[in-house]
Amino acid sequence: MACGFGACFGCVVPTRRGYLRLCVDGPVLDAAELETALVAGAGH
Amino acid sequence: LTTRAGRTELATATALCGIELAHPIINASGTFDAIAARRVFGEALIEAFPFAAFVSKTVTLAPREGNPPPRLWETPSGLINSIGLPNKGLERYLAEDLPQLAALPVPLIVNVMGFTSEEVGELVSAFSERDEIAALELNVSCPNVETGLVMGADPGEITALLHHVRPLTEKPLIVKLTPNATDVVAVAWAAQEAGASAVSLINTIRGMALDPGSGRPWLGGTTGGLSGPAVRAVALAQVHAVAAGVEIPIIAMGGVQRGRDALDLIRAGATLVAVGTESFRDPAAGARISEELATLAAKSGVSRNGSPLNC
Repeated sequence: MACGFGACFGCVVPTRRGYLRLCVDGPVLDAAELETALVAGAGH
Repeated sequence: LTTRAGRTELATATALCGIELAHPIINASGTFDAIAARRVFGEALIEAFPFAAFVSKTVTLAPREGNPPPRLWETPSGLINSIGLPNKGLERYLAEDLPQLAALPVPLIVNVMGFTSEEVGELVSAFSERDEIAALELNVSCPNVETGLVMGADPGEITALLHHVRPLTEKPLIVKLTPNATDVVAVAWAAQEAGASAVSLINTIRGMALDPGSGRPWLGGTTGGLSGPAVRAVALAQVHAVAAGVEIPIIAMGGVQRGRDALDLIRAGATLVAVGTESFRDPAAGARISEELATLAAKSGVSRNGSPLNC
């Protein structure tokens, strides 16, 4: 995490709603919403 | 008679392409989000805005999700990012973000990026109509999908791009130069000759990190851009070289953490200095750095001409 206040988009996690910023949209997320990868070849 | 206060004022108040600014410190695009900062830190940070102008994050025609994570890797004295320019796209930026950013107490500079000259032209035309915007910055660190060449790495690409977009607006056009070019001065010169109002540099330097466990690239985007104090010496050398090669104003950035870093870049030829990675550590860094710069400038007798630069 670089900034911690939603500015840098460095801490995103893939969800069914797209990438969410863990610092401002989390840190607790609904596990059922999580995706392992949004983009093919992401290495997850 | 010059008083101490008068000298400080002369050293701090400045202008870029006719835009009057309270001091020479602005933010680097993508490193400070005024809307997120208001939400988290409240009105106080907005009223005492840390920068003399606000440069917004890159806007593209279509919305972008950005690159797959992981997006960050820390190096000694630096940060590699592979964020991938996530943004709402032109339409939602105009509808949702612009009204909020126009209410900031400082001039607004909008950074745009397109994958063809026509795309950049569409963005420039759309923003040209908006009085809330003081200037446009062109992010040219991406490949032109029609030629395969990175626009900012090739003087011919920059000339063609500016020949297309310069006639579309009367607003100042700032070309954000990439350090990942064979000859940055040649690109800056081409930008000037084709009508750029100013240049800004440096953007991040391409870098990479491997996952220590798997040995594969750590970043979702494979490579990323290095920023922070690690790039400061590179920025100083490139700003110095570009200042010797062009007459248009320079907005300098690269690892600025303190007033003395900003003063170095001004001594190398910059008109304005942008703060980037340091704002992640301290969102109010811009205000601190501008105060340190004013004190240093008064002490050392270094001052910029307070009159608007001709551009």
